[in-house]
Amino acid sequence: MIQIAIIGAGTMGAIHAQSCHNLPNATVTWIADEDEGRAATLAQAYNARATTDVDTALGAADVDVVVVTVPTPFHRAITERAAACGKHVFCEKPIARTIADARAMVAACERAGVLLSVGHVVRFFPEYARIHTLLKGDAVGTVGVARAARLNANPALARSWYGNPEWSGGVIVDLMIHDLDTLRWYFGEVERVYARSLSSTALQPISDYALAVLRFTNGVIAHVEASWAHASFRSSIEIAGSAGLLRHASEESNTIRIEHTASEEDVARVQVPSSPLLEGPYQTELRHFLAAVEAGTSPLVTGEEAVRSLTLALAVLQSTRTGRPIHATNGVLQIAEDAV
Amino acid sequence: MKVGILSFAHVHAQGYARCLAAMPDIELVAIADDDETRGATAVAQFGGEWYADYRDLLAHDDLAAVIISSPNALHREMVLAAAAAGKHVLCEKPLATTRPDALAMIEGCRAHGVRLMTAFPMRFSPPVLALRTAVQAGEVGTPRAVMATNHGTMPPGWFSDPALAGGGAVMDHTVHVADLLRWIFGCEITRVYAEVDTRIHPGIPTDDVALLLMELENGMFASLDPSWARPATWPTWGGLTMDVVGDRGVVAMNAFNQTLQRYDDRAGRYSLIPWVEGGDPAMLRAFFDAIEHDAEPPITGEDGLHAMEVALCAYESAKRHEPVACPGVLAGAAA
Repeated sequence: MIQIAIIGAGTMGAIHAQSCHNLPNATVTWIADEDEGRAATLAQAYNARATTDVDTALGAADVDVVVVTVPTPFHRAITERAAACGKHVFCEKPIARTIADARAMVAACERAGVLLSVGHVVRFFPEYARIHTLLKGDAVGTVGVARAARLNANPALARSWYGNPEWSGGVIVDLMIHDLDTLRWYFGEVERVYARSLSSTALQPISDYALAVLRFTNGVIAHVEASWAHASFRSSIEIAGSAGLLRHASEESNTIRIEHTASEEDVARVQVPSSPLLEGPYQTELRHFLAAVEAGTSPLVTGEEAVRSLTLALAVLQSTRTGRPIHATNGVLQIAEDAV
Repeated sequence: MKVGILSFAHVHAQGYARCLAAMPDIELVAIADDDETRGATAVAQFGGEWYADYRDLLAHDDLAAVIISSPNALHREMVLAAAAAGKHVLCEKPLATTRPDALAMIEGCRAHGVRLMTAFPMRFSPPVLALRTAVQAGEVGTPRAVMATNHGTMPPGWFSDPALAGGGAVMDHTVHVADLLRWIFGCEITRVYAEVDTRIHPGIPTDDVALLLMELENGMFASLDPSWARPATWPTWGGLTMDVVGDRGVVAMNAFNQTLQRYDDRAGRYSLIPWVEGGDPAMLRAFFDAIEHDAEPPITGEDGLHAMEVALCAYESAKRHEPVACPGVLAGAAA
């Protein structure tokens, strides 16, 4: 039985706690959060112990794996301390806010001989995973142009730290990074990036919105849209090639829609459509990582992979700030760390 | 009013001729096409007299106006000849394939006192009009960004011959959205960044995939995917979409979504059948109205020039791997 500490009892902490609870080879032993009530509530639901002292959870003997679900800037410190305690680390995306922090996390886990994986969960969404399989099977011939979009309401409305670009990196580093990582998984490294966003041009504070144009080293061109300016979540992907086209839009894959006969109270309630699965992608992602922990193998999303996806996101961000394309030299996008 | 059509080489000529047939005050009296089969077919379908040489058609004294739908690079000589013959001109998009050609056409029509209109039917598409109304009514607050697509399947024949078409997907499909951006937001496109390539149809001598990221004079940015990226099995020719993001919301427009679904076992095919007319009838009506009232057409030769320049800038940007400033705007600012 793999014993797990969840650090950060917010939205993602609760999702990962539920997954651990569902998995037959895992159990949640510790929940740490600076908010005592939040830690206690989540701990109670899974019969775990709660603490406001992170180091108590990280150093506990009944912890094998640490799941890091705190705001992005704190990923590094917790990961380094977890690694120093000899715990394997599963960290939410993005791996960190800066390349320096991300590299330090990879190095710390290597030094300690523990596994590190990062929650680029879209690779575990069955529709995106199926596209990966189909592309490897030459389903559309030579890929010409890809389009990916991920739209949502502004998460800062619920958790204010998302609205601080120094913390979250905004819609590009927090949300677009999902599709940047997925497209890297499909097509490899990126040769050139050009992007525009609203946060860098708007005269007044408004919801974050960004468009990026990518040229991959293998020749594929891709358009990526990320938005915190919409009212509700949806994602889509389209890949056009010389022999056909693959396309998925979350809105068109809803299998269940619940509507209540309209009353005045109901009109204001947001309806969340869903596409139910036997196992949700967050659980698949964690099951995969725990299997790697048990077998001592490398997880699909290594720290190094996450560093590369973060580098791409920061290149997109830098292009929006400079108005210039960012180019790769020897396969590495040339970003100025102090510019992003 | 008696009118002629110069060339059925562009697929849009068919649609225009169908619209003319439905206009009681307009008579299609002559069709010129150097391809005899194509000319004869058109005459059999829509009436009028066939001319192998468009110059013989232009000698018709009672013709008031012509529609020119020849391959893009031939627009210049036909427009100039029509202007010299005193015929008003509705010219298919893109207006031309080079800046000197477009300027010569605009100047030639001005010198001979004939009207020149660029055929941008999307300005008359009801979904596009609804988008413009919503944006201008402040439905999404101050507009900040646009994401547009103008996808298509690979068009036949000369469309992929750069000598006749002046380019590929970028030249074919950039001008519609470029014109709509200028028209809806009332300002010029100032800078263009683009990735352009040939990947979907290997071996064709022109581009078939592209992504553009443009800047507008008012500070907005807009992306466009003009790729001929729809496979042969796609259920319709393509489409045009525009999402406008403002500081108070988003409006998404799909100009060709008024379709029904057809599953056809005999053809082994699934297809989308439009149940609306599109913008052609209103565009042609606007052209004839302008002539009758001796007024400037709602879409000018200059509009055609500016839209074409955006496509040319995209090609330049793709070569240089950097954003390119639109020369038309600089010239306009200097003047």
